[in-house]
Amino acid sequence: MTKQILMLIGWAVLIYVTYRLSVWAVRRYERSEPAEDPGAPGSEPGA
Amino acid sequence: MEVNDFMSVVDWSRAQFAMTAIYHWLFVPLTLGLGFIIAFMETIYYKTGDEFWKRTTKFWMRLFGINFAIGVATGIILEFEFGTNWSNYSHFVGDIFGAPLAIEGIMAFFMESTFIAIMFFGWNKVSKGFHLAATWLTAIGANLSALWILVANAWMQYPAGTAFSVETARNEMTSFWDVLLSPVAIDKFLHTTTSGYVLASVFVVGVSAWFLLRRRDRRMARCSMVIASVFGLVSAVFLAFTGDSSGVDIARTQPMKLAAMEAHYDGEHGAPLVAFGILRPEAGRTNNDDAFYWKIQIPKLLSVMSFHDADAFVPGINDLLDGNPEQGILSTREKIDRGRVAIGELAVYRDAKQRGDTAAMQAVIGKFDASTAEGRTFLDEYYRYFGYGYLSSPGQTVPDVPLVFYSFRVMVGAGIYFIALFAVLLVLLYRRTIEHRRWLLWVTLWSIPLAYIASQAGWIVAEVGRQPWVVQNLLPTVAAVSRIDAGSVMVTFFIFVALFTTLLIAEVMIMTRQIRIGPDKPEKK
Repeated sequence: MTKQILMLIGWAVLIYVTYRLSVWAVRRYERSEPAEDPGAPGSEPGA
Repeated sequence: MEVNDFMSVVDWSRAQFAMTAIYHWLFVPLTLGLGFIIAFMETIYYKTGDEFWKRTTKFWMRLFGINFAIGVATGIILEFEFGTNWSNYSHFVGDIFGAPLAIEGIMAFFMESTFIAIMFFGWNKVSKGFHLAATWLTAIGANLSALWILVANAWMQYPAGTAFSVETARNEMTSFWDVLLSPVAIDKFLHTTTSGYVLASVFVVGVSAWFLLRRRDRRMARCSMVIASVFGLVSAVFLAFTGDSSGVDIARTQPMKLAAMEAHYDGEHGAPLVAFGILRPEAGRTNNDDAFYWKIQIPKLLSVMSFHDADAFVPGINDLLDGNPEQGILSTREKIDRGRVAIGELAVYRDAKQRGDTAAMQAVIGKFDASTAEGRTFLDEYYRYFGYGYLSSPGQTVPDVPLVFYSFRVMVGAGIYFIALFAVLLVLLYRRTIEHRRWLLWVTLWSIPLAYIASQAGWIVAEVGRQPWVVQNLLPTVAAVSRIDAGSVMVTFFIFVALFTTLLIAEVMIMTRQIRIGPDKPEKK
């Protein structure tokens, strides 16, 4: 039963870690993102 | 009632429940995963104050809301079907099954429903912090809701924390914690919710790919794709681990399901896993050699996955049907006989009660009393096969092998594909070349239906694989069904098909319209 309790706590930790990882990944992506992607086709309507 | 009519009731009731569950599961997994993706996005808005993240959050929240509303409608009907179509089941195990369902309704669903109102209508009416808390609590509430439903389902696959009462002919809960924290329940919760995260991530990257293909709202699409790819990749890897854990549970508690998943007919030590194969028709499948037209095998892998031991014995369908004394496996015929002895004791008790013979009644009660040595022996040797007593032939214990075998491979194959998809998307996003790979964007968009097919395939493995049992070894479908007219179930089946199909078409139309509208435009300063 201890294993199952640890697994439930592990689920909560997984959500938290994934949240931190997602936020870090998107911020890193945005920091290195040029205002307009020069290599990409098309424009950014509404941006 | 004729036997044929009675069988029709079972078949129609199974078909109706399966159809309702399949439709319900079209909506639920997206809710489970998208709730957290939205919470991640709103947290970034809360921390940065960047209005772009508010618009992005609100866009995905709209899709979440449409999906949630229609999902609830199908879920409520499922709960009613326990009473209408499966009243014997509800009588037999209602004391146990009812508890997690009640907690789901009172705690999780109310929590989810309360905070979802704030989430949708609370923008600019409550503080940013309170709104963010409501969004997180909606996501957590949806997952807790799934926890209780899956605890109930897991109990049917592995009935723990229960005792049979002869007086009421019902199973009664002896330990709430054994029911909640059974290994099968927790593995099922983790595996199922994580599959929802993967599906929601595929949905978000797929819809984002559509925006990139249309060359509009590109920042929203790319940022959403980054978040969903990370969430999806971590979840898909975790999904593989929880799948392994579920495999061990199945090997231990539902060996026939495992044998059907692998079309494994003859038990062996160091059993190989069939990576893929084409099955012969049923009449031609009698042993491991003639079961397939062709197959690709990985040596010893089935033993490793089932028992984490390369030389472990994995029983096959033939071992479970005919028995294998060397491995201590009883034949199904023997289990049927023992089940009938246990059922017979109930008849003895009823007769004694009618006669007012208290001594005879106490004698039967003693046989089901786990606190005595005699009771433990009877429970272990006879009552554990109680459900077999309702079966007429051993062959009834074999589920639909091809359906379970192929569904399992669709589920696992799609899971591996999604890990690769999320990894490739992340690499290309960081290299800034994602928009040059238009073929990949199309592949990503068309991966959305695959995620739904894989998710349904998982449930087919879990539910078709455990047939004929409603409660493993204790209650087969034939004994669980309501004694009602097959015609009425048939009529409601088609009514539900029409209703749910209409709901599904409505959902897809409203969703696609909202996706075409896209996120709100930034306010001009």
